[in-house]
Amino acid sequence: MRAARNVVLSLCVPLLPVLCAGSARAADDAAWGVEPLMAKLQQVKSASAGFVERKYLRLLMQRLETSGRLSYVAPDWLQKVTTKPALGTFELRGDTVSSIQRNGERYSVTLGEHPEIAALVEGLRSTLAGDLPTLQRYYTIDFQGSRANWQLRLTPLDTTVREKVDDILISGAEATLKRVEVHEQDGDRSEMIITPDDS
Amino acid sequence: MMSRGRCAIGLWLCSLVVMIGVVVDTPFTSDMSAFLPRAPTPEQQMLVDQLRDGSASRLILLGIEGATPAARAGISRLLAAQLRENREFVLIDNGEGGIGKADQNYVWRNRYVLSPAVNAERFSVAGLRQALERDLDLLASGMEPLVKDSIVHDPTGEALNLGHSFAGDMRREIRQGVWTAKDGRRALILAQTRAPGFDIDAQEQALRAIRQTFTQAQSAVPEGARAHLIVVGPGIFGVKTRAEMKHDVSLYSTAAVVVIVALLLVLYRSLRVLMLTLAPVVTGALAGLAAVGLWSGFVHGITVGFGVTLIGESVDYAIYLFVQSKGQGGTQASLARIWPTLRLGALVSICGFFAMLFSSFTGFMQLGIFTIVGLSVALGVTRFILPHLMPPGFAWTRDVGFAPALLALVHRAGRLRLPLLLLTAGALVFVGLHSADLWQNELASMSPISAADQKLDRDLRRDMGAPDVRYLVIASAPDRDRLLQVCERTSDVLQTLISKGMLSGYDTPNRYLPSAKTQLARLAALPDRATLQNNLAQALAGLPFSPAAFTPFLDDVAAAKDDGPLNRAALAGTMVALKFDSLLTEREGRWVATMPLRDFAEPHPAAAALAAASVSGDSHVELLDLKAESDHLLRRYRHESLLLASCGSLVIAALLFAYFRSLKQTVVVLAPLIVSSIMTVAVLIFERGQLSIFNVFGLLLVIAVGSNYCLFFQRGDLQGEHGGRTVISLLVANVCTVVGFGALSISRLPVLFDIGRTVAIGTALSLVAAAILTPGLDSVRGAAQPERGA
Repeated sequence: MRAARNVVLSLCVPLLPVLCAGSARAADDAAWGVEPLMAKLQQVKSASAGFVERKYLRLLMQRLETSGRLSYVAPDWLQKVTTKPALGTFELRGDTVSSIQRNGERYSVTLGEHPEIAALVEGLRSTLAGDLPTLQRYYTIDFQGSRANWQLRLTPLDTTVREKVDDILISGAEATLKRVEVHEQDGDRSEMIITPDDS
Repeated sequence: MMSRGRCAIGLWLCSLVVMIGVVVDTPFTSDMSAFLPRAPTPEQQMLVDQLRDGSASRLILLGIEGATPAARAGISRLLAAQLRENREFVLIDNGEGGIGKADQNYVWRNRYVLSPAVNAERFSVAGLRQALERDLDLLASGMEPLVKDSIVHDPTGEALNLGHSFAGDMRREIRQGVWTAKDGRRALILAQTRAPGFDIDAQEQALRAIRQTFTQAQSAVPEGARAHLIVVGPGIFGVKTRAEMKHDVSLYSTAAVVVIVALLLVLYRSLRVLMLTLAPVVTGALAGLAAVGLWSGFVHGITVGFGVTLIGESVDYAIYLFVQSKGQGGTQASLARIWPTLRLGALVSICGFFAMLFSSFTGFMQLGIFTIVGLSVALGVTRFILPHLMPPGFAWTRDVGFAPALLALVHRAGRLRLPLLLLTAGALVFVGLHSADLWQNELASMSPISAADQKLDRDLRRDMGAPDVRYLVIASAPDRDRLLQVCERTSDVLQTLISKGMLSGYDTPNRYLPSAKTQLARLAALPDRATLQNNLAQALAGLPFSPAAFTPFLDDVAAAKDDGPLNRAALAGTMVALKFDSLLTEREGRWVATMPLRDFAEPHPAAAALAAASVSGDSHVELLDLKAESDHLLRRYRHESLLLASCGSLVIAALLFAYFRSLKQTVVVLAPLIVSSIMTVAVLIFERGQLSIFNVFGLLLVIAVGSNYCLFFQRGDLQGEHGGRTVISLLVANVCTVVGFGALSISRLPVLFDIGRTVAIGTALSLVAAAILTPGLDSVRGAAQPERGA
């Protein structure tokens, strides 16, 4: 429960590229940057993509690999359905995160139960909605690279959040996101490779 | 003679002072439970207790509407933070914070005695293997951050499951960090007061605190001014009802008094006579209040409200006395003439009200005492005090222009006898056609809460997913630990009902603190460290976990075994403690647990299953259907009120027969009352479709007041100037009654509306019916002719 903020990170961040996939045709060669990216994100009302995720945890002697599909419907519904190695569903709807495990067990966490997370989630949700001003309230945003190969580094501003998460790296080309990495303070990390449906 | 007069006046003044003293010292309440029975069954006692001070009675539901979602959330946060500081409230829940830190610690530290899942199998090689595989799934899923840190302490996931069941299984919508209705239009806050729901003063204070804090929060939040607050709850309705009752009773009875006073002033053209007319009423009211105060120690607001009853009847006494005074002999002669009728009329009323003394409603019993004492005293004042206070040789000499016309009307009224009887027969048929659906069947019909407020209450309860407070399981045992054991057995039964789909959830105290026996059984099921280590090693074989990772788990289990079972003290400082205490109470040396049920479908098989759980001799388990109980209660009230009204009527009939020693004369007096009662019931049904208990008590008042008219008509003797005076006095008396009670029927409160309307309609009909039906008047018409000729 106490680490629920990471739930949100691991869920939401991978979906950023899904959004971008839906609005990938940035035509003109105007200066590429965080603002044009956000403008594109705003236009996405729904999207879906395949994913492969690898987790490297101290608790485990080997990496954990899962794959499945991601879906997003504006403004606040996100779903991650794992198909390998086992079926599982993970969902963010409103302020509630819920999951159904392969054995049918259900878990549900309300972001409101963790005020420090709520702030974080609002930051991420506003990214999905292309809401730059709100995003900037929660993160230091470091944008670099070219149109064809860019990287967004989100560093939490909130100290309690920083105790858990070092940063989140999102990389992509044009408006297509290809990879999301979450680096945690304790050395655990995860990476997710995304394959948008319409690419 | 004069000195006897002075003596009487002195005595009267002294008793006035004493009565004022008593009344000033008597507390006034508006606790609606005064209208609940005094000697109910155990189930009804539980119902009454729940209504009075059960945890449901302490709930206040708040909704913040209007403005923007952000403003509503901001206000919700500020309001909740402020109210949490207020000692009036034991619980403020706006969805922020969820289960608190202290509670999280309580669950985390004591998970092995709290978790119902703990058994030997769970800590065997197979059980641990299953748990670890599930953990691996969780780590692979998006829930990984949720379990990553706790898994090495709690691989079997006890804390995770407990967190679930403690937070309650209702799904809440959290928006902008606060609890919000599913449609997003309201921010929601649930408050629980320290004081019980029937403590209206404390509830009023709580309501004031909420409103003040809301106003402050509004101004601290951008756009907050456009938000508004909805507050509902049993205690809040109590506060509103009391305020409304105070307002209505004082406004409408003041209005009635003003109209009556103006009327009498026009009639008498003398301030002194007016004051004297009011003397019996005021003395009677004071005496009635003092008697009720001395008898029950408090006076109910409704009792005071029906002080107008006395205006209706005892103003009549003075009116009869003064209006019928004429030249020779003045008041004394008038008194001598009307005293037998007046005395009989008062006696008839007192007999009618006497039935109310046997009501199980404390409220109606009070009303009975009030009226009987009040009427007796008013009659006494009219008889023994007023004549001494009158100007010597007082004669009411005003000529009422329409008196002869009115008298002529009365004389000719007999012609309407057949039409009236036909109309009555028609009314009787009409009532008969409605007899299947004659009564308002729900206690809610007596509820003083407006339909709009009831709807708001329903809406907010639905938004909050608050348990429907219809079904409860009540368990009792001689001490707390044995009660917890009973609750545990009952929980097992309820759990099977859930699996059968007959129930969606319940709450029980043993969830928060299990019985010592259960805790010890759970601890005994935990293996010793060496065994657990061995089991774990085998279970880990072939899984990717680092073998040394689970040392914290071994430590925690060993520590739990060392710590032993918990007691109530372990709950100190947690919100869980409040919940636990609200579900468990000690009453007269017996411990009682309340287990609210949610979405309970089939009570009959469930009741049987629950009865089976109540096996041991000194414990007791019972399913309580609050709605069925309250409907029973209502039916009981109704039977009782009908029985009392019938008994009252029989006693009145017997009294009249004993007085007249003539069946014919008795019927002459009673017939107009029977006719007017039937017509009144028909009118009430025509207007509202159904009758309430209050209508029945209203009819009792109609008979008590209306019998006076009948007696004056029955006396005959209605001719010339004297006859004119008598009919004028009856008309004025009736107009005063209709004005007094008619004013009360403007009120929206069912008790005021129903009684006010019944009496206003019924007494007017009684007067008309008495004029039409009383047979003597016909012959008087014949007798009047020669008088005119003479």
